[in-house]
Amino acid sequence: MFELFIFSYKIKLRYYCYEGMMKRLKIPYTINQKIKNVYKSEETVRYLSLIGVVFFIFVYMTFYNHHFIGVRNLRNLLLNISMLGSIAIGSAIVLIGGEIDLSIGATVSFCGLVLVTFIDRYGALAAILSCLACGIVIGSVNGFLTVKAKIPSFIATLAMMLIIKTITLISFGTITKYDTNATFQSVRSGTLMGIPYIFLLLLIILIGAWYLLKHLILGRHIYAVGGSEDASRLCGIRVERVKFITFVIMGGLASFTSFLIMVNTKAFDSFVGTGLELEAIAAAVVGGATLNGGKGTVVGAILGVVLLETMYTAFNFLGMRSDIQQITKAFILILALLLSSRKLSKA
Amino acid sequence: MRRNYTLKIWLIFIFMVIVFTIIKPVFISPRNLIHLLTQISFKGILALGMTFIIICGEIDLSVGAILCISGIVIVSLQKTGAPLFVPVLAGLGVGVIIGFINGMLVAKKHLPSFIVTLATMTAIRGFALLYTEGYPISCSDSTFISLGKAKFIGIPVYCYIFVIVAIVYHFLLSSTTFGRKTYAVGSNIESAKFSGINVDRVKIELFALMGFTAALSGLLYSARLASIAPTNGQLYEIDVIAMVVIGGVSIHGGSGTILQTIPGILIFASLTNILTLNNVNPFYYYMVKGLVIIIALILQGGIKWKFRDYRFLSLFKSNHVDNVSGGKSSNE
Repeated sequence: MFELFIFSYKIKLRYYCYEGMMKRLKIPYTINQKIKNVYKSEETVRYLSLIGVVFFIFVYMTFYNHHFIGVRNLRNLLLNISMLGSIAIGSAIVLIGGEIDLSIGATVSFCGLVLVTFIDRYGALAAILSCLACGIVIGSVNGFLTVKAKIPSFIATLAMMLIIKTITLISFGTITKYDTNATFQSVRSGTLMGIPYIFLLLLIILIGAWYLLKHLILGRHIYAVGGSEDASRLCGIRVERVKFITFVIMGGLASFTSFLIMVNTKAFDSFVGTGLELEAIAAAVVGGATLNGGKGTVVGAILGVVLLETMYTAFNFLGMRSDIQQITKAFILILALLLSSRKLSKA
Repeated sequence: MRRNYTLKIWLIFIFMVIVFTIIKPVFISPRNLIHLLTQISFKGILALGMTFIIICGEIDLSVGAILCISGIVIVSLQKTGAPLFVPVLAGLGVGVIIGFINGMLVAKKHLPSFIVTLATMTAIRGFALLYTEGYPISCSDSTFISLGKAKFIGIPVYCYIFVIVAIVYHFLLSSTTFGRKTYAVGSNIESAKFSGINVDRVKIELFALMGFTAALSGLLYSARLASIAPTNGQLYEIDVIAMVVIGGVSIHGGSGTILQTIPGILIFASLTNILTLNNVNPFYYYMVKGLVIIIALILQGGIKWKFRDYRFLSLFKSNHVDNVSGGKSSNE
């Protein structure tokens, strides 16, 4: 009898202890259970569906015109993905932090023009450094306005976009500037086992941003601040500093994007970045970010870029009229934004 | 600072007028004043409607597009030869319907108003471009054209309409329950809900009012020019937001009056006017608008100068947990 009593007591103890709790609540506790759950997580579903849609578009377009899979088109697509991808990563970081940045198009134009102008006069290294410096300064001004002057980020970056656009137009005019020396020729046409260097630069940025968001404390803080500003303030996170750093990163990535664009197409004019901010936000949102913040990944942003660029290339192949293309791009952007907000409103 | 803000803004405006007259005496000439009053009327009517929306904490980017499409509807329906009130009512109705759609999406679906109005703006511009195929439409009805050119004591009729709208909207905002509800929803939406205010209905009515206002401005615009182009009214949204914000209406919502917006309208219009008179490079207009918005918002909110975060490098520490048991995490 006594053994039975002890045995039942041990069973109850087992039931109420930690492992029992986990099993009762069906929370994955062992490694096997965790691996099973990864494949059901929301992000993985999103990545797989994005890759699926890209695959579907590829299959359909290849039947339409077999040059879609040709080397030239794929290389073009890869270069476009690199150019839009680096700015989509920055946009994703800002969106995760809960803010929005509308001035990146103007920043790209300005930094690119600085780069092209300085290359002829001062050499490549000084040009790159000054381009980066300009981007970081513009990012810090955006951060200052949003964080210190407490201007809502949408209006602050909108106003900054107007100001930077004006500064660009006045300093550099409306002419197109060419880099006649072909300084970056080796970067432009070089490949590493068939992959263009430009795409490798994008991969480096992607790995860096992924590491930042997943493995550095700053990354966790960005997610926290985007998720709930008040809660993270109560946790002791310096919300202002995190948001400021987010904007600075965005500025730096915008100048890096202008560098990539300059390497790719050796020319720059004041209107290069005109629609870029909305495309970057569209890519980040398609990849999982929401406008309220706290959600999203950079890998998702890159997959969103892949999807969007594939669609744009498909539009060109289908021979869509240029103004209808513009309207369609705007509609896709708005559809992505509306769908992402709707998911959040249900939560 | 908030209490005597109206007085301060009016003083700033008077000071600006004096300075501008000293710089360019042409500023006070009747011809320039009529030109100034025209700008004030068209964008001012939009700004008066926008005041409601910003007090409520939302934003409306589709005002220029609604202006354009209502003008297109009015001018196209003129050609059918119907009596004048049919196109006018149709144009105003289109504005109300689009505002209603905006309000439904914002209130019922809880979508951010920035996105919704951006979507509406893009859609309407697309429709306008597809319908007109890029060319302006002109109007041939003589009554309509004479209404556009009518003057009463030398001042065009639309300026009087602007004054009438200002008086009506001021009454609406300050002395009706609709206005009080707008303030309540803008200040604290949760307590408004708990006070029994139907927040959804307030927002829908607000956006419908804005749509009506934009359509009214479109009516006056197309009457004055006797034609409409699909690119009219582009970038009016930024001007209108700047006008409201200069006037001291808080961008986060909950405070502000029409009497604060009117000097904002006047200041912004005079600023643009003096730039035109000085033959300033048109590129500078963007910068002036952006700077004015930023300065107005900084003056509204002030700058927090305390910045005592000096442990910067601690952010770049790794996120991994050091030892498994106990769950000690290496954050600050």
